[in-house]
Amino acid sequence: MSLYVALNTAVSGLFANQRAIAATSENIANVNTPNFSRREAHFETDAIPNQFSGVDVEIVRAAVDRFLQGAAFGGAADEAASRAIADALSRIEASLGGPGENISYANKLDEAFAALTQLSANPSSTAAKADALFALQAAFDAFARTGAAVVAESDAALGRLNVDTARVNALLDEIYRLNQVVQDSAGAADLLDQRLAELSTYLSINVARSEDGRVDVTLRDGATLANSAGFAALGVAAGPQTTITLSSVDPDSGAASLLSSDVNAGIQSGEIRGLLDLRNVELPRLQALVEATARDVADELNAVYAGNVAVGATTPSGQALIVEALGVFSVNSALLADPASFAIARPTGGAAGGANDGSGAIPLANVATTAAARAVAESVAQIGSAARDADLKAETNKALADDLSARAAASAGVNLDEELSNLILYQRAYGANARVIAAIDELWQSLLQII
Amino acid sequence: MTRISDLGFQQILLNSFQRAQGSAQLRQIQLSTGKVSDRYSGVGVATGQLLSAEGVIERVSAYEKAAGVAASRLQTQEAALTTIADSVARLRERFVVAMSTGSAELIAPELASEAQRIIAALSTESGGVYVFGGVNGTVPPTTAQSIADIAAAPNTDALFVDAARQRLAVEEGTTVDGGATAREIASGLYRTLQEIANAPQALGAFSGQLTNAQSAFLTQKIADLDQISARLYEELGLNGLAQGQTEDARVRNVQRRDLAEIVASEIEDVDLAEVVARLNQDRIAIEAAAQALKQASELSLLNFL
Repeated sequence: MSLYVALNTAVSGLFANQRAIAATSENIANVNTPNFSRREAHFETDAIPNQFSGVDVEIVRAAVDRFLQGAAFGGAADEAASRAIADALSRIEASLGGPGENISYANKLDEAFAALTQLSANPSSTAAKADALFALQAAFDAFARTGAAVVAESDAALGRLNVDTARVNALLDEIYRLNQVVQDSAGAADLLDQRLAELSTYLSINVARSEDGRVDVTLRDGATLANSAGFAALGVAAGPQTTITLSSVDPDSGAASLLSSDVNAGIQSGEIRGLLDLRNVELPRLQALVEATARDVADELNAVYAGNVAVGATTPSGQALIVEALGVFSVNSALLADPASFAIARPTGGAAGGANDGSGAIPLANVATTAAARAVAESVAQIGSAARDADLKAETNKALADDLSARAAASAGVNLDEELSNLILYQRAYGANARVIAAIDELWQSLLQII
Repeated sequence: MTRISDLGFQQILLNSFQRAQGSAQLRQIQLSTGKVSDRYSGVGVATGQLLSAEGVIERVSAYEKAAGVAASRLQTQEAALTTIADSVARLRERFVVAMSTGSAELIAPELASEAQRIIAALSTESGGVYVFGGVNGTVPPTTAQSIADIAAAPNTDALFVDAARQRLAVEEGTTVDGGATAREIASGLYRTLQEIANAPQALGAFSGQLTNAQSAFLTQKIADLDQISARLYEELGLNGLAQGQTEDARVRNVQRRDLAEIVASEIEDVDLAEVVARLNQDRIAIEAAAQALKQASELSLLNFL
């Protein structure tokens, strides 16, 4: 072997280890970067017989376990979907107050029945009548407060859907553009994985990969979201049933062309699925529950009140105690303005209502024992139960998503101990090659002195 | 080979740290509020039962107050009825004395005096309500001011404000009789008082010695007063019955409230000893998780370079 061959070999080793050290440094620098796949140095013999014998190195991204990554994406989507529902239901539940605070509509209705009971003992007291009427108003205000919380959450869900779809569209644009360069850049592959991970929190996706690293992203029903040829954009169509629309986008002009007016079925998970379920299923159900509960109680009270007679009157006035406007119930404003006119007498034999006759307040208070009133507590329990179930589901999905994410990261992520040992290995190899070059230099000097 | 990525490892540690924090937060809330949870979702499926128990407490407390008002009214009625019965008894006694002594001197002033007491007793108020006013208890149940009004009335029943008896709610599903009205109590009494007051017109004034006709009249009135007295004691008996029912209802209300409070407490109140023990465990878990997280976060190769 000539000294030139030896020198070339040592220099190739020097350079190869220098690149390996650089790759290790990149790994260390990205130890806390989510979805970063570590770089691995693959050494191989590089030789030309009788001329050159050395080493070459290829820096490659560590293979990502695509099954685990797909499962982690699915887990993140499930977590986001259940978290969106759990957060909304938790806020609605807050409108009920907590146990012991006694501000839920069930508690307020109990207070109203208690006030009616006390009114029966003080029927001639205008203050007692006002107290009972305002207690009833407070109860129906509490119903309205919870109903308004449900409506506010529905509006908020629509707002978040708009924000989410805007972000999804930006991500799909980026994925399309990363697809154009991923085959030439490990960094682009990392960015692509990061964008896919974020996208999976918004909606459940299927990802098909080609050998060169490009991805084809579709909804679960096969509708294309992004690939190397183009990308799509989502939109929100609010209505009785909120739907997500899908349009294809011209990458150059940005012009959109509607492909489908409803891709809800293809969005099986993710925050967008959670928000859709909130808007279309969960919140309308709770809204109907609260409204029906309030209506049943109002109907019971009105049915009893229809038999009551005002002071001095001989027949019931036919006036309603509780009135409804657009699903919101309240005490008749004429009674609130003039509590003394609250009819609570039940005279017999066509006699006029006595000022101290509270016999009509007793059946009003006894509405508390009807099925309609008993259902009130049950409806609060249903809201609490829905919030609890959603919370438990979100916690379970978070635990699963975290575990899957950790497992996925375990195969391709960075381990500092491993990088430390690699660094020492590459540094020593670098030093050894440098020593060989120094030895060759000494040999050259010796030969030159001989000459 | 099982690899462990530092990011994944830190994420796991962070999750366990957050779980320990979440658990400790729940215990802190339980400790400060004494409740299982500050949300109905934390109470779980027992929420309906809890709210029902709270509803029972609220309503039963109202019935306790209503029963208190009823008891007060019935006690006031009892005192007034006793006053009227005493007046009737004194009148009867005066008549008996007059007949035994033959002297009619004190009959007229005694009649005026007792009639005044009876009218005042019939106009007794409790909490701003006339207790013998029935369902019209906001106005005086009798318009008579003195024996003169009774004596001059063409129809003594017209001296009463017509009203039905009142029913008083004392317990869920239970009402008691609110007592007789002034007319029911004193209709016969007013007639008798009127007859006595107007007797001098036919029999001569009650002064000096009683005449035979006057004696016969008083004998008849003593019998009438006996009947009135019997009716009053009958009403007092009914009053006592209603008071007994009210007291029984009050006791049952207290028992129901106590029971409902126990049910609610079992659902929403925490065992503080258990919470303190668990909070201690959670603190240890937080410290352990924080320590592990700190060590994992401090991993650095700089020391080796």
